[in-house]
Amino acid sequence: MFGLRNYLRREHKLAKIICVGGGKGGTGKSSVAVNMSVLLVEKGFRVLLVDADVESPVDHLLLGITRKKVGEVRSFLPRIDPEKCIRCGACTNACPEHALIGLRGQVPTLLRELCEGCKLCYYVCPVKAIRDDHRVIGEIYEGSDGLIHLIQGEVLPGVKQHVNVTVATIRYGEGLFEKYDYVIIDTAPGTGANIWFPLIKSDLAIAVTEPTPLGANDLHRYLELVKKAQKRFIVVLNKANIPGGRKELVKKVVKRYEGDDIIEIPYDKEFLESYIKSKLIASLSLNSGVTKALRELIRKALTMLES
Amino acid sequence: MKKNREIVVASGKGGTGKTTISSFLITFLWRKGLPVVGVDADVEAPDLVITLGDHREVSRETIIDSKVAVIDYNSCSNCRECYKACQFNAIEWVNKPIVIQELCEGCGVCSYVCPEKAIKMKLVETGDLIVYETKYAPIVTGELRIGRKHSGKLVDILKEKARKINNEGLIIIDAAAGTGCPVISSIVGADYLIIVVEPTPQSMKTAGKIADIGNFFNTAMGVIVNKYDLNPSFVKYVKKWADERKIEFLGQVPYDENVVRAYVNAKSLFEYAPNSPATKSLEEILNVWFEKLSEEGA
Repeated sequence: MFGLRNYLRREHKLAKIICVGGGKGGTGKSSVAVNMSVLLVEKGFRVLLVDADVESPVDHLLLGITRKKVGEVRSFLPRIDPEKCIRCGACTNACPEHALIGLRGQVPTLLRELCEGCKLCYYVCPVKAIRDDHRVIGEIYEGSDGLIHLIQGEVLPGVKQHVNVTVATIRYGEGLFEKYDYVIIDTAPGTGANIWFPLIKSDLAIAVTEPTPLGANDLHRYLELVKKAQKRFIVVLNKANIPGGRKELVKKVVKRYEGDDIIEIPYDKEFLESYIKSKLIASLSLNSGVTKALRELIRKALTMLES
Repeated sequence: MKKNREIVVASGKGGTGKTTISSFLITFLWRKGLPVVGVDADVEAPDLVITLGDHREVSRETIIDSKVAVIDYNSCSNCRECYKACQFNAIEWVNKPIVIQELCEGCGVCSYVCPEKAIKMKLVETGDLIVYETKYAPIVTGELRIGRKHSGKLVDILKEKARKINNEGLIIIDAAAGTGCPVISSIVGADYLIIVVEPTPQSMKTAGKIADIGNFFNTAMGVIVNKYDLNPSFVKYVKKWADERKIEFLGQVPYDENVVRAYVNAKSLFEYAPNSPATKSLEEILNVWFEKLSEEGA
């Protein structure tokens, strides 16, 4: 179903899309995504960074970008007209989340927190007594530091539909993809639908992990997802040399999924500091192990995308 | 009176130490001799048992609680009604409607609006519910089928299972990263929410959202700054933040290599390094917290 897109991309030089994930939280996905963007810009490419971790978007902080709200993500929310409602119970019976409750003979009550916005009630109402009361579930931001352009989605607190906001953010970004050489999508931790959607839109997946049993366990689930999406991938082992680390566990997982050599980023106080102080790796010394590893990652990614 | 007490550990941002602190809390309560059950609510990346040392799977059941739309193309008239009605972008149009199963919420709108009755809702596996035995407590966990959407539902089912196993003790819930559906499901009904933060603005930003969710459900909350010594001057900012939001400041824990060493050696942190800096400060924090909680509960 995405064959057409791939064809167009080859023929018309559409942007190449790289998505950064890995399963476990806190392994350095955002750091890697942001620094890959910086290094690609350094090479003279036009780069769009899409922060699709809508539950905790931080890329603007890492880049020091002041973002601007450019859109809202809305969802359906029913409003029942008590004048029109014939109290038949059709909507309360249909609601899959039991967000509409009420006895027969009563106008149903809406429990907003339970509503997923599927709109089934609107369709089943025989007298069209339900209309759309639109609610905002997320926001889309844009910003730029002059070199990297950033698009970012953010779900509002207490809203359950984070997947909808992820999808809307990427759909918004897609409208701009043609202006860029490379699009980097920074994704959330986990291996659910909000990771799947960016993944199927991508040409290459970067899986960032750490040398621990937890990192290996989550990488295993992430690569299963990558396999299902039939994407190529590069595994980045961050904090590769932490004391007591278990590199071999990660290597075993990578081997199982027939991956290439792993890119190892050494544990580096300076790199960590750059994250804590929200500074870019570009400010690190050119010969640090971290910079070398990131450059190697870019070289490898570009080679894979060109072939 | 509610018999169980439920304590949730959440952070918003990933990798702050939720699982480490949940795991330590379980070993702490075990030492107090209290009946405790752990719930690993990170069903997209379940790791809690790994941090508790030796564990054994005692039961595994498949949860079939998700529905997805299936289109019968022989009856489909290409009218686009389903495509227009789906609120979850789960139907793509490529000459015909195609269901992206991973995005399908299972609500059945498409099936309802289809004039040809060409769409049926099919029950599919949500994931597995697994109970592990560890030295300290039974752990209820789930594994969501890769790429699926219904992690919140699975979390509800895990919590139900934990309440059945232990109907008058403490339930410790290790929430997933993020602030979305599965995390909300973890927090609903909890008696106390421990927010774990790192000393970075990135972490505080999402911790704020977790606190908003806690507020929304009127949950009592406390905050722990993990790896505080990576940026010690930041702690006063967290204290102020907690103060303004009426969140208890529970304490700070230093970065400690023993945390990683412990789970690499398949031991709980307490057992592996009882005198390490992280163990000591966690022990101190939890002692104070636990005393307060007991007083209030009495």
